[in-house]
Amino acid sequence: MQTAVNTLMEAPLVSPDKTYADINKDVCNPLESFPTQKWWAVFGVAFIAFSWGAFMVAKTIATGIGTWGLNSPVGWAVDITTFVFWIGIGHAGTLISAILLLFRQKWRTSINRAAEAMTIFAVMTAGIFPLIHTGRPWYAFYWLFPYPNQRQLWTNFKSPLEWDVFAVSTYFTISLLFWYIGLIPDLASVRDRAKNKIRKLAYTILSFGWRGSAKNWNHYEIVCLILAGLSTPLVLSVHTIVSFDFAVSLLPGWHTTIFPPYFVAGAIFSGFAMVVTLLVICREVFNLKSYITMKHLENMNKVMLLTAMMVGYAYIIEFFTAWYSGNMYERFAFINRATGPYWWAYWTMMSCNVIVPQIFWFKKLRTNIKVMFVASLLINVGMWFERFVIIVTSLHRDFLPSSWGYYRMTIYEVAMLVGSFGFFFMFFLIFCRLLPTVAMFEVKSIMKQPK
Amino acid sequence: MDLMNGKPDAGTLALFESPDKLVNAIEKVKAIRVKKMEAFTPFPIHEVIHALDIKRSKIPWGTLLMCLIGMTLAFTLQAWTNGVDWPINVAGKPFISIPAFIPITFEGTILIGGISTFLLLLAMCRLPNRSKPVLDVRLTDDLFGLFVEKSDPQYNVENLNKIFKDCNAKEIKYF
Repeated sequence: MQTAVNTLMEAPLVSPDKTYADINKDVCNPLESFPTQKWWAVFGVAFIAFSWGAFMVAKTIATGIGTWGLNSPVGWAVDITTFVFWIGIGHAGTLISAILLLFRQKWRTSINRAAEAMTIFAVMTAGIFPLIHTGRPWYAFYWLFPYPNQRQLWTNFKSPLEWDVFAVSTYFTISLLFWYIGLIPDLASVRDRAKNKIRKLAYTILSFGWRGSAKNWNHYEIVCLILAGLSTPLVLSVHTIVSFDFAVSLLPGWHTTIFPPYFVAGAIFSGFAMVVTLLVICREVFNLKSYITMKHLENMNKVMLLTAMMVGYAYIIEFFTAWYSGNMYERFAFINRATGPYWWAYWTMMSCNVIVPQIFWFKKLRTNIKVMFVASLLINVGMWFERFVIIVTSLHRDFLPSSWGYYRMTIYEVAMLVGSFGFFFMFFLIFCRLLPTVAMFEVKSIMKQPK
Repeated sequence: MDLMNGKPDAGTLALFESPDKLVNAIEKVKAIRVKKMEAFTPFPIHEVIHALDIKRSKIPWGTLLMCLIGMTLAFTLQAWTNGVDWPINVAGKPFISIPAFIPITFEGTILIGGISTFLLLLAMCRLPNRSKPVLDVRLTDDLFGLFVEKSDPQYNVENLNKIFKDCNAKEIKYF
């Protein structure tokens, strides 16, 4: 029935011996059995990391952000670095679920559910940081949201920080809705498999009583397309606006017109690295190798190779522009980045983000699980350092040498960073237990149909 | 299902093992001028939607309208608060500075448009559905169903049975 007019001979996206019923069985299996010891062990580690972070954040809020290593001139460091890092992680999920849908890339079907879950948890994690960095998060509501108050003051809509509030909250809302719409038919599948009454009730409520009638599918497909169309410019706008937090200022090293595309490419780059990290583990632990195949992983590695080169190009062109501007402060900011006191951060970023991904030119290496796993971890280290380099090295040497300083992370900031990973992984692990990690109905739609 | 209250569907449900068989059955049932039928599938199948002559969804028009409303609201919020209610001079920019208001105007467009699209989907699909029961649990797994309602003037169990058997139905259920 499906006529493939202009497709090349390619490896099938799902193992050819699988039937529709196998998909439901394989994907729902982890949901219907008791968590394994491995799961509890990983969850335990994530929980401990989260608890440490939460404790130290509580202490910070009680004491004030003097617990951090911030000083004059370095007023932003790990807080905003980690915020940008997590927002960036989210972008790959939207790229897979929205942009690849518009491009009709069938390979997205097996990985989009997990990638979008990652987006949502990453944005949740990111959202915590701007709140903590205000020092008094209970005031953040009226600093950030325009609502009528007794002082009759409004937020400043001409500030990029305010744009960011709207961009991130819109991004979270729309991603959540898009993800949930994708889940409805699969939740109905889980409901119909349920033997236990409470389980059946829970999934009936979650699936809104979906029955999969042709009339409903007709609306459903249009809505997915529309939301993909809305999410595509949205995801590009989010990291563009995050980059405006820096680019709209006048600080050398931040005041750069290349920032929006450079940030978006970097976000997709780090996000794909995180998807690879998570899915390499997921397909192993939950036995999903027939659905998340080497082809999916290889495609993601190719995207990483491409975006790594875009990011690498941006690193180099920034230097060129600094030299070409003829502005001594601009030139100093960049030379100082590579050779100043933070040279180690700069070269960690360069080697992890530009040199490491070059291994993906070789088919042998980009189809090797161990190699790609290590590379994906290194890329995320590199991408965290990219934001650190942009933020801290641009700030630490102001125009006058009398306002030069050096920033060191304190144990509070380490705990906060570690805790953010714990928070993220806790949610992701719970997601793997409660919801189908592969979009079952979408995978069925790209399979060969029985006669 | 006991959770559901309200009137259950009455009619005949035929279960098929492939979309091709289902489309074939739809065509045959259409030939005896039965109108009140509905197909249930585990995933969207365009051939089924075409066979049932279902019209293209109108939801996109709703999205467009709500996007425009969102755009207007977001811009007005910024212009009124920062330009009229309490004018703020920020770096000598005009009180109503259109370029500075573009990002949030865009986000407002997407936010209102996206939320409305979700609500429209629920409304058009009559979700959350509390009255219609699940006809067969395999319909969300690997079977493709065609349901013909008893209220159709052309409804005739023997005729339908014959058609469904000719179309290699795996199972026929009566409600």
